[in-house]
Amino acid sequence: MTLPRLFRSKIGQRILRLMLLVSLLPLLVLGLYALRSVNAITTRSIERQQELLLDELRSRQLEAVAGQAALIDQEFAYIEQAAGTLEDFCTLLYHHPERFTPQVYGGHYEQHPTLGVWWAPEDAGHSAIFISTRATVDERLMAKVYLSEHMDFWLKQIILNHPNVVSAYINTEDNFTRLYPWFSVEEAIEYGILVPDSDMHDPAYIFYWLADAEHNPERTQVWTDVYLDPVGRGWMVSCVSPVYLPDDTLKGVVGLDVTTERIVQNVIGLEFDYPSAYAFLLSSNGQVIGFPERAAADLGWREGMALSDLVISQSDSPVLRQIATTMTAHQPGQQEVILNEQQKFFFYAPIPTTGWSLGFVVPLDEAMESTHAVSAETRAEMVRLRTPLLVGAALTFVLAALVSVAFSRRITHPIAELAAGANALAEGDLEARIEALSQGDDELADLARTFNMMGRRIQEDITRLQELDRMKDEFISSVSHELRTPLAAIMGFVEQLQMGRPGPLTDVQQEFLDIIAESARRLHLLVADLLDVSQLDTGRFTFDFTSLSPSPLFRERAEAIRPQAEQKGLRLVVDVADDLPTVTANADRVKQVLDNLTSNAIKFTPAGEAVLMRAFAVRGATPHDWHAGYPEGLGPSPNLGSGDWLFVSVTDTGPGISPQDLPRIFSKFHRGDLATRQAAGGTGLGLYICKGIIEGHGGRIGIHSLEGRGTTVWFALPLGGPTQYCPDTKLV
Amino acid sequence: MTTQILVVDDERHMLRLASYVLESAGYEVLAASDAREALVFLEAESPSLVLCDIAMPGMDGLELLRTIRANPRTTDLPVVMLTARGEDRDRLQAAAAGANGYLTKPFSSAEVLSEVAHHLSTVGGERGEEK
Repeated sequence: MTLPRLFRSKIGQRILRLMLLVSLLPLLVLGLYALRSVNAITTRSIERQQELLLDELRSRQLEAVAGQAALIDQEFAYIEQAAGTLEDFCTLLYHHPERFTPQVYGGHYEQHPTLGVWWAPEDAGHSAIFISTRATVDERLMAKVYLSEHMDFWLKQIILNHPNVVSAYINTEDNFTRLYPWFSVEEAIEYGILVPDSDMHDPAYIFYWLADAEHNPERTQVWTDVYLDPVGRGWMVSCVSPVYLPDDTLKGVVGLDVTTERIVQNVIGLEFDYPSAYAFLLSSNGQVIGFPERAAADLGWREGMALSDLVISQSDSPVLRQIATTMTAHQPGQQEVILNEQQKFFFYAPIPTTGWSLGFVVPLDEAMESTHAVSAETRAEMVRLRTPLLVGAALTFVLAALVSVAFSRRITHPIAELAAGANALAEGDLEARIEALSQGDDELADLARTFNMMGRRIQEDITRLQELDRMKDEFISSVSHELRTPLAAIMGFVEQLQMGRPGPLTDVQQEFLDIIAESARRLHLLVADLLDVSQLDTGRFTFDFTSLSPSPLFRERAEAIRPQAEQKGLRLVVDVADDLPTVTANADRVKQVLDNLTSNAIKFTPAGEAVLMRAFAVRGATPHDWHAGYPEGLGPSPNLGSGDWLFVSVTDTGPGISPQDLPRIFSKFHRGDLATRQAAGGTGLGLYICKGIIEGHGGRIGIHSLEGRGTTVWFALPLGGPTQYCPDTKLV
Repeated sequence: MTTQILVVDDERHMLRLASYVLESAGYEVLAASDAREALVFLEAESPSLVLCDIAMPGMDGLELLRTIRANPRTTDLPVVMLTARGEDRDRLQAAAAGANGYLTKPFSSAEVLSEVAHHLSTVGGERGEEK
């Protein structure tokens, strides 16, 4: 069986569908499950990997920020220690002045002629001094000034050892300042950096004020807020430490001014694995001290903004304010924030010494990107894992389909073979056998063998029946011929006797001869009918078609039969038009049909009734009133289709035919019930022969009968000439 | 001189019937019960018409007809076939073999006589013209 035929086969389709369903459904389910599992495992593993990577990244960054913050804090702690050491020395210096030689460097100090302040006008490589006009310059103060020369050793050491410390100084409670390295007090006042009549106790002097007893009860080193250096060295911060004597008197404060420049540069220059990541430094009051350019947008920096304006604790952005709050809480930590509409990791660590904080910001996507490479690897692994799965599934699918097709073919092929054999037999091929299939050993093979046996029997039976049929026809033909010769002798001699040729007859002899003649005549009719039937059945019935004018023929037949009707006391009504169209027909046969119908009508109609013979043309295109011209209820209702016909009918008003007899009226040897048959004395073959003749003309024949009313038998001949007629092939 | 008619039929009663009918009508009948006998009559006598059965044992009617037509002396002799076989096929066969008429059994005496008279008058006319 070819594939297309398999797919046309309903059983084949059904089996194929079932097989595919049975084999592919589990495959599909398992395959989908496996795929989903692989996907899920991969996805979970990728997520886990990313989580781990991000965790690692976070902890690394947190470590890094804490490390950096600790480095910065260490620097400030050293400075704080230096301030402490300086404070200790000052305490010693002012508590035990007797241990120190005054004027150890012999520095020159004088009052400024116009400004009124005291200063060291020359840079001798020592410190600068400044005594405001508020101070009372007397011997005691000057002794203090001279004593302070001892501090220069420490001040220089501190500046030398701490690159971020730009100046170191002492401010005493009596408004004296010693500051290393030297600067011109005159110029400082001129530039407004110093005020001649400044007072240490004035809150504007934060250096002093921060460290005093009221603001620094613990007397530790304290750090100022950041401020912009008045001489342009950027962000500055100062570490101040109060100097108390053992009697709890505050003698002054020592201070170290620290530049943040290098620290800030370090922070700005910190390098990250992520291009957009950055670090920034925040003072204790939320002032952003150091940040790289790429952080500007995140931190709310705008072009033209003053450095001192970037105080994120006072920012408009709640996120930035929250960041400032978080960072100044002095605990290291991390958060995910949205900065500049971008999700970012934010890591922070405190610088406890100054209260500052260091922050790292890493964009989430960049951080994730670093995990992508790993994810991609995992994904590739998954694809590697999935490929054999998919290939396997595809192979299984193909295999299942092939097996299904093969299986389906195995089943449908024999069935199709059986069906083909049965069809061939049904179509009359008596030789049809199912050869290939019957060789098998399964139930279908049994069926095929049974079919073959059945076929053989049918063939034998039919051949036998055909042979019998043929013999019967030959027999009838031969018998009817053989009957004719003795019949001819009987009829011939009877005729001679009737004619009185051999001599005169008595009336009784004449009567008996009439009976013999009538019987012989009937026998002759029967023989003729038998011969016709035999010829019809064997297809040897031939027609000699000529052009026929129906009107004269029908009139002639009517007149021929009229005496018979009148003898029986019947009226014969003839309704035949003069101008009936000619038909192509076998005149003798048409005559035979008409005679048969009329004599039947006369036979079956009791005296006093009428027989109506009608002939007219029927045009298929024109509607015809089938009731007109017929006794009530006896109008025929033929189904003639669209053709043109010569329509002939014979109607009697006899007893009619019972509905159960009507369907068999045109069959062989049928003549209604027995009583009618005996009364009629026909052969019962007439209508069967009529049907054969009319159908041999391509015509139609039919009957319409109402029991108790009468019967109309009609036939129609095609006006277009006889069409090829193929009577049903009858086996028996 | 009475007109001679040769009747050929293997059936004894038919031969008698045909002879009786024809003789009653005044013809002289030569009755042959098979083709061989008929050929002897044709050799010895000169019948004006032959009435011949078809189905006969030995040489059948058609064979006899062909023999008659083949003989120049009898080639124009009117031959009317008288047979039990009335099918078109048989009529055609007879016509092809050269039969002048065809009568089927059973027949009425009038039928036979009119057919015989018809063929005799036609032949007689032709002969008259020849003379």
